[in-house]
Amino acid sequence: MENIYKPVKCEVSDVFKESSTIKTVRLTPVEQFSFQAGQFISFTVPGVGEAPFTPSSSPFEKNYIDVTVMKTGRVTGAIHELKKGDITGIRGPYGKPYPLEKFNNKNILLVGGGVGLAPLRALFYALVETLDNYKSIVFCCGAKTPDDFIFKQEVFETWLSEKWLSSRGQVCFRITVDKKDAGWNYGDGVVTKTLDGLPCSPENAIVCGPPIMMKFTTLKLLDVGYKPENIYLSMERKMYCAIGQCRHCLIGDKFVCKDGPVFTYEEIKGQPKIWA
Amino acid sequence: MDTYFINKKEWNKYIGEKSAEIKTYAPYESTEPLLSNGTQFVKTDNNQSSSLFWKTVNPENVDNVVYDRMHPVAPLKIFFFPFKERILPAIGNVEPFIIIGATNCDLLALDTTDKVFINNDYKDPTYGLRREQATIISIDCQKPDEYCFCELWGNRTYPEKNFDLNLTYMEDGFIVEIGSEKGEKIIRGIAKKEKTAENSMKIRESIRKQTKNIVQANNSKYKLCEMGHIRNDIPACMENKIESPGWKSGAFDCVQCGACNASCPTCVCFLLEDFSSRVSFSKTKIWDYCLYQSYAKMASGVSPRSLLWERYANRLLCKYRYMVKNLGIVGCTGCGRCISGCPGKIDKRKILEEVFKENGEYI
Repeated sequence: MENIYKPVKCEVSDVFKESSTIKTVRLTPVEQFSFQAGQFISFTVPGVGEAPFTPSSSPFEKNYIDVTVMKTGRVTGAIHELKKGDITGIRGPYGKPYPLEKFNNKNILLVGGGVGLAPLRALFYALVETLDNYKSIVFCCGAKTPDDFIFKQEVFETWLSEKWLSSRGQVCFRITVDKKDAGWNYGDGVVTKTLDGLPCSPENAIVCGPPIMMKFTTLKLLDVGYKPENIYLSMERKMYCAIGQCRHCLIGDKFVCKDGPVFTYEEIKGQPKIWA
Repeated sequence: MDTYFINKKEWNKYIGEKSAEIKTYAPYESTEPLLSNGTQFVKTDNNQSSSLFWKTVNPENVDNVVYDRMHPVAPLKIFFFPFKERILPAIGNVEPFIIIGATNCDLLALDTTDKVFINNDYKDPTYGLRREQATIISIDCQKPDEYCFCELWGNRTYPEKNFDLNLTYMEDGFIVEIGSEKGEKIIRGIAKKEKTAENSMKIRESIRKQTKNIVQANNSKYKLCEMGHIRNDIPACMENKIESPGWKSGAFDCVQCGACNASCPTCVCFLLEDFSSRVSFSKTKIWDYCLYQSYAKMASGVSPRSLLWERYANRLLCKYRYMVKNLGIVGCTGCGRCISGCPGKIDKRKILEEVFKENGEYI
């Protein structure tokens, strides 16, 4: 029987600096490894430890997996030190994916803040792969400052390019930073501001970002007519096993690792301290 | 299942011989702590009653095994879910071993640990191996202490399942009940045995009744006693109890030592550490305690339970509500170790009473 804790070996094939605190590490697994948007992996730096992340690359990308990480603690610190050629490991995928089938023929609103754009990037790529299935996609991206805005080149040069948009008419972006600087040509103000006057009727909203941002975004979404069962939130808790045994990630009686990491607001609103 | 009467001398002779072949553990009256599987339990000043510790049986000490008291200080889980263990790479093989003297409060807790580590989508690398290799010879509890409250939950003081053999100690021997094929094999190996006489079975009944009476008398001052029959309603009683004032009074004397976590037979929380060099994958599984500040604290410094009363509440909500929801089992068997081992002398029964009281309908 294969050991459930054995990671798949991955070579670091590239490292991209996204901001002063965020890096994207590109991993090439030595064996077949696939995931669905919204599922997460447990990422090991040998000799240091493990931490859970939702990959930020397209689930359709077969050659590599991108993990976008903000430097906050011991393991993420070690991830930021990784260089091309280093050996790491991943376990998973774990958790439930975003329920794409529920989004068929619907308007989809994505709201991401800071490093919370990472899982949404994977979801966005999954959605555009089957774009004809959806009515529209509005992608609201926010960050504290222009420096904190991740995937800049991709968002501004590829996603926002006219050519790209013209072939996919039902996709639009709303981009903002809390505090802009002289070189910033997009919106300013907190990300909830982008939810005023939305061009689509309220159907499904997917939110990922820091707890405070998710809280106020949820309140705002409820305010503009989204139903609690249609607001999808990416939850984060301390986690070790990722398989529903160690009990660290429980939010009340719900396991983030097993029942999540994405929950509808309806599923968790009665649980204690959901915004941590 | 079949029962036999086995003379004590005969039994000790058999176990003495067996212990020379197979590693065998049993409770002993002792002042020295047990050291087993890296788990060390010591008798605390507060822990007045049980001074029983698991020790290795050998032909010389076999006569001193204690068969007629209560549960040892350390819970049975230490044999299957040790305090600290490397699980990647994991040991591939476990030698058979025998545990003598487990009581019902610990046997019932195996339902919880089995559900988490083997009857789950993912199987723990070693827990199942140990469970398969263990032979469990349980006993009827005969001298419960003032902290035991199994009967309050409707749990029995004697085993009804999860054992290979169960022993009821009497003056000159044991009534031995067979609980599994493994147990039956042992009995076949003992030449001198008798079919139990009706009279012995009557004695067993009276022993069991007596033990039950002790637990009930010790708990008569707790109104929870009247609630024995509502065991299945506990999760409902805990609904909307996240912010009950009862938790705050419980947490008032808590020193966050984690003794209740360590001694609890159903506490399963663990963390994973990587002690390897930077080139190989290794994981060590270590018990973690939810009363610790560090338990839920994330790298950002944010914790969903930064206040002590929130952690205290979470521990009991986990036992009586969350485990029922996600495992289908109440995470408490009433062994009372969390009370007897608590340096803050927190009596969980009083706290639960306080919390339940707000519902009015049960008290």
